[in-house]
Amino acid sequence: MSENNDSPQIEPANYSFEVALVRTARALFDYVELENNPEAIKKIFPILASLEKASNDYVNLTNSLHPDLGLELREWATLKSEFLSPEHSINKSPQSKNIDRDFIDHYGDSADRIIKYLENSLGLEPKTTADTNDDLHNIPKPPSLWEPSEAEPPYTGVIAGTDHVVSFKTGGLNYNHTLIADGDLSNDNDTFNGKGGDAGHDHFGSKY
Amino acid sequence: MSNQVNTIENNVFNPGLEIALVKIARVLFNYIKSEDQLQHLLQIRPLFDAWLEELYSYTNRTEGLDTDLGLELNEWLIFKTEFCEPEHAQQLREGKNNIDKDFIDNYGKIPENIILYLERKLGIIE
Repeated sequence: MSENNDSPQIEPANYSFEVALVRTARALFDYVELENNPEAIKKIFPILASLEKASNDYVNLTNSLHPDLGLELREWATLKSEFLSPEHSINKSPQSKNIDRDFIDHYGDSADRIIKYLENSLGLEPKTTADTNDDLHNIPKPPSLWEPSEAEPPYTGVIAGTDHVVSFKTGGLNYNHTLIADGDLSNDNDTFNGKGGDAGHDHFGSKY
Repeated sequence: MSNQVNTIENNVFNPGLEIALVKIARVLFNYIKSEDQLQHLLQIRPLFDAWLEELYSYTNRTEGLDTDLGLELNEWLIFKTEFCEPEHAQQLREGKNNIDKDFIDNYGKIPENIILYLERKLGIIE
């Protein structure tokens, strides 16, 4: 029997690279979340785009990591800057330097949740500023249980907030996730579970 | 008038951006330091280049940060990849899949010292 050469060659997953991508994502996310000036946010768009490409290339090679990470981050930054454009609320209320609360709730939680999922799955500690800074100086060893993600990974993570239904696209497959929360933001024991086979493309109202 | 405002805004120091750039530098540096495979190093080259471009752009706009940081890291990455090239394949065949120790000693400390300096300066570490 001849070997099927049409099958894409899957490279082994690279834990250190995944950590580097996720930590870069965290640094960029923290910056976007902190920054209220759209011009300042736009400065990092090339890095976000490069992160998105590196993440997608890696996912295509390995079926590991989360393919929506880069997409989420770029979409989040773009939408955030749109919220600061003249037609949006900051212009109506120039005293306010804060981003529209609805935007934070809908899009900020989404990107943050994915990064947290990846941090958890890679064995990186949940981040406080001090944790992040300490963590930056330590190159972690792969957790003993770490293995490359399979085609349909068990999406189990920790969330807090209000209930959401989120669609993820992973390795060419789409997943719907029901995010269940009890509304208590201090309760970090809520879980969400994914199930495969969904064709939904609705992504907090946008399409990809 | 609006152009003038934009110019002024673009030239102000941005501590948040400085911190983000230095944190990314640390991430990239640690990855480069830990990685032995040339093909893996090349995977982060586009991300590295995008970071480098913004670092230079920010420095030129503001004269802030340390202008040598990107240069040192870039040089370090190039040297490291050169060590993985065919002329060093004999080392790899002999089972020395690690970068040459002299290289680490001579070049690795330079960007790390600059990053440490910036981390302290920006309050990322004490």
